[in-house]
Amino acid sequence: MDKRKSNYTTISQSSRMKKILTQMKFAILHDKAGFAGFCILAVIIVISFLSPVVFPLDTRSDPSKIMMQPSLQHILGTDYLGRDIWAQIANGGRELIIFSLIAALIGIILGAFLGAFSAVVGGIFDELLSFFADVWLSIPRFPLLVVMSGFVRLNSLTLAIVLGILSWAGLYRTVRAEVLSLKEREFVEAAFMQNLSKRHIILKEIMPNLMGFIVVNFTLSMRAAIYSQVGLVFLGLLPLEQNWGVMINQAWTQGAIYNSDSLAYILAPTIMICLLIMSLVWVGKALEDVFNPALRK
Amino acid sequence: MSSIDKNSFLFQAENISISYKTKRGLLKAVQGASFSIRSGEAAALIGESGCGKTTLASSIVRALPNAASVTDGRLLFRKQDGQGVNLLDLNRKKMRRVLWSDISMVFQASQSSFNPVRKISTQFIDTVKAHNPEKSKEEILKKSGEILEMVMLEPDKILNAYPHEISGGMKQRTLIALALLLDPRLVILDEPTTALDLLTQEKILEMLKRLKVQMNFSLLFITHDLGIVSELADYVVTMYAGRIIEKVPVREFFEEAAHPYSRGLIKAIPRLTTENSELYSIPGSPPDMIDDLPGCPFYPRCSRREDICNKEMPEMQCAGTREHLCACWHPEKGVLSNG
Amino acid sequence: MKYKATAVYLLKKLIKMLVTVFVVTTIIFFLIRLMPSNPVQQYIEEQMVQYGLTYEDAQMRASFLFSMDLDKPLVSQYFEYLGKVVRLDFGDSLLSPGVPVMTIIAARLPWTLFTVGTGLLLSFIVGVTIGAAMAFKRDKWYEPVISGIASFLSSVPDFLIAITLLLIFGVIEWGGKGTLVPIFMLRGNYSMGVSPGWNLPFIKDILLHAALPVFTYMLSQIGIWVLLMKGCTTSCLNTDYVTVAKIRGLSSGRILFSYIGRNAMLPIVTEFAMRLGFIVGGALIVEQLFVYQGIGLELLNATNGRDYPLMQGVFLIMTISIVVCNFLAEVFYVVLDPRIKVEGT
Repeated sequence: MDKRKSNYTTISQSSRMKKILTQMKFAILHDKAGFAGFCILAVIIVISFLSPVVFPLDTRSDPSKIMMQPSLQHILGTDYLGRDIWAQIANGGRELIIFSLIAALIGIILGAFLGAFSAVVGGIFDELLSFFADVWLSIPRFPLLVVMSGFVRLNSLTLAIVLGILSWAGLYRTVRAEVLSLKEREFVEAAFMQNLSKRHIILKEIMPNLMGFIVVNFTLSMRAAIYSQVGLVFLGLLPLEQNWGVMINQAWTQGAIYNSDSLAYILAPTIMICLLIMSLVWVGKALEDVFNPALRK
Repeated sequence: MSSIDKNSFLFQAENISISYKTKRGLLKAVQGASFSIRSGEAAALIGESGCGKTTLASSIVRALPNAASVTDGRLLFRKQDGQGVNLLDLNRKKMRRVLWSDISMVFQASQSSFNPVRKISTQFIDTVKAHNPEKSKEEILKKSGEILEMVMLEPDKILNAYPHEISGGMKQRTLIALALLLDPRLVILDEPTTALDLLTQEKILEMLKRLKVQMNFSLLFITHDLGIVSELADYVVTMYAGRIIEKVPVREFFEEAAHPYSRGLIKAIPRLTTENSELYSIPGSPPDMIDDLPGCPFYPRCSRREDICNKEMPEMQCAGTREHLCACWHPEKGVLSNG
Repeated sequence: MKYKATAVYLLKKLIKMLVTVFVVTTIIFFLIRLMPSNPVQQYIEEQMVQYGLTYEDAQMRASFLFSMDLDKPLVSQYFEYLGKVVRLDFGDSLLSPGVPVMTIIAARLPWTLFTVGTGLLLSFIVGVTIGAAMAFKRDKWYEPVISGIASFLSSVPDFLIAITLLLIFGVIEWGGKGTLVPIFMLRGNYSMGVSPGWNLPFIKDILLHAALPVFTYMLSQIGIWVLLMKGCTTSCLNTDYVTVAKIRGLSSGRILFSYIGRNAMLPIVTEFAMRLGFIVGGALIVEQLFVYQGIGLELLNATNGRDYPLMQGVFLIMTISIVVCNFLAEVFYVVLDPRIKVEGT
């Protein structure tokens, strides 16, 4: 028979700060993919937010420098208007990240609270709300955004808010199911019997079980938000502010896609978006392992 | 079957060692285990949780988990024609033929031993067809019905049901029926009564005793409940920390067990007259089986220990009658007092 | 007795489905009528300004085009609208006057169903096979590599895959001999000058044009099936009943088919049914990239041209297909899994 001792020394004796640091170190290091994702994500974030200072964007067109190949001066070459491609890349991630973050956070807060509230309150409110969530989930999201842009002028911020609101139903269902099952479980009853306050119960007993789902949902929401932002910009339904989707849109509308000289212009944002999403997915998976001790090998 | 001498062995484990590959190193779950079973005999394999009994039994039917493997020894089995064969040498195809038709096993906690999306009848038919494809469905169902009646179940009800539609006790009995379907000569039961209530336990014990005589198979059952041992076993094999430490006929076991551990187990059985304060338990806990210590594994907990016990693992020696073997430097002698 | 309970359960789901369609229809109706930039009002004003019509004439036009009677009170308009929707009458397109929306949808929908459906089917068949195989090869070196690729493909937006394929096949000149696929194959459903009909050149042409879109859909979804099937098969392999089946002496084939397969396929088949519904709404950007005249591209054109009846109709069709397929998925699940207890909720 296999008798495994725990691999983790008890850290409950050490101070709270040390505990948090150890947990964070574990979170980042224990999974190879998670670590790689963390590094990539860190690099992207640093570049994106330092870029106004380090790689300033010059939007003037310079006809003398159209579609130059990569060189020391312009690491990725120049685009069809003579602008430096690398500067566009460095500056293109900021808005994407910020607005995806906003959308994901709104969606999570809405979904988690409504889900927990609905499960705890129960009754007619719960039945109606969960039915409404099912209806909501049957509506195709991207076509809805496209249709909405036909009625309302969208910009990145309003899109982020709308996306957040639109994505409540997914996490709502998961949280509601989890809270419902937790309500029945013994340790919650035990906590009630010990007269612990409702706040304690929610924070200490219920939340830890939900964190895994929240992390997964967060990653999914970020992905969806990135997809929607880039997609809508590409289709011309969102104003052309500075993000990687704009570069793809420009490549398409200016026919640059079909020009084999300007590969960097279309490939660079594509690769950056892929890197961003992959690093998010990897980090998400690593975090999920952290929050779900049952998954630990 | 007629060519087998009644005293010759049906099954013999010879010096079996099984190890698990774990993150912390090689875990020696079973070391140097040897025991044998005669035809028509019921052997009980007893010991604490984690001592290696299930691992040893699983190795006989090749049900070891991926991380485990038999590192040494032979598993000898006497086939229908009288020939002895090492089960570990058989290739997959030959082993498949032996499995279930000669040797069958019922695991502990049989709640999910059946395929949940198929009816019980399909699974019985599957089993027979895998060994005797020429038999027709009607024949198979008829035989299944007969066996189900022998375990006191209603054939129609059980065969037409899905696994989730029958209760735990009934599932256990159905599994036993399935195990007997092909008339095996050795049936292995891992904790056949643990998950059941006392009344059902009693029923199943009665049933097993009856069936063993009726169908003439040898039985190897694993348990930590000494009550069942006294009811069902002819022969007792005690294991501790992966090693077999005593082999003795049942009556002698309860009257004159030689190994201090076996004595401790018997002493620990509560009697109706025992008062609360008198409940006995063996002090200490079993060792971590990754550490490979040279001496007897029971050393830290033994009240009769001496220096040599820590240095060398004792060999199996005779203790009492010829059939009674014990691996101890200072076996206890004398009849156990009935306290 | 069990069948009755199942029937009741499914009936409830059917009702839920109908209610969902009803709710969405209502939302669309009020969206159009009550939104700030009310398209009906806009249209009326436009007609008045551009063509000098009177308000009544413009309103009559509008009510015809939007299949709403604008004289009557809102509520009765709503019921009339519902009535028309049930008969799949969405009115006429604004951009193509006189052409019913339904006609346009009927012309475009099959193309999308063809490409996305084929992509889904291919990704399913190939993905499930690879996933099942990977479950048995957990200790080989290539298993994490394939799982990694699957994870990558399933996370990356489909249009990025489309762009990459475009570049590989249509733009980059490999070995200086020109691109792998000539440019005209990258756009449209079929080439100019090929006459439609059930003839071989046409069919060949369609297949060539559809190749890249289908490949895109297949690549963007294959990862999901690989990972899902691998997970389901692995958890089946670890179950007691598979171990017991092995020691009962059953052949590997029988175990694979009847014990592992049957159990692993349950969640997979229901997932497939659910995804079927999202086909119709999932093709927008990719169709734009390949200029593939499907229903997604139609929605985009309708939006750009403010063709509200068309937008309305297409969106409703998309939602209906999702809802219907979700219902089918529920039916599958109840029928396939004997463990489902269908007591009333």
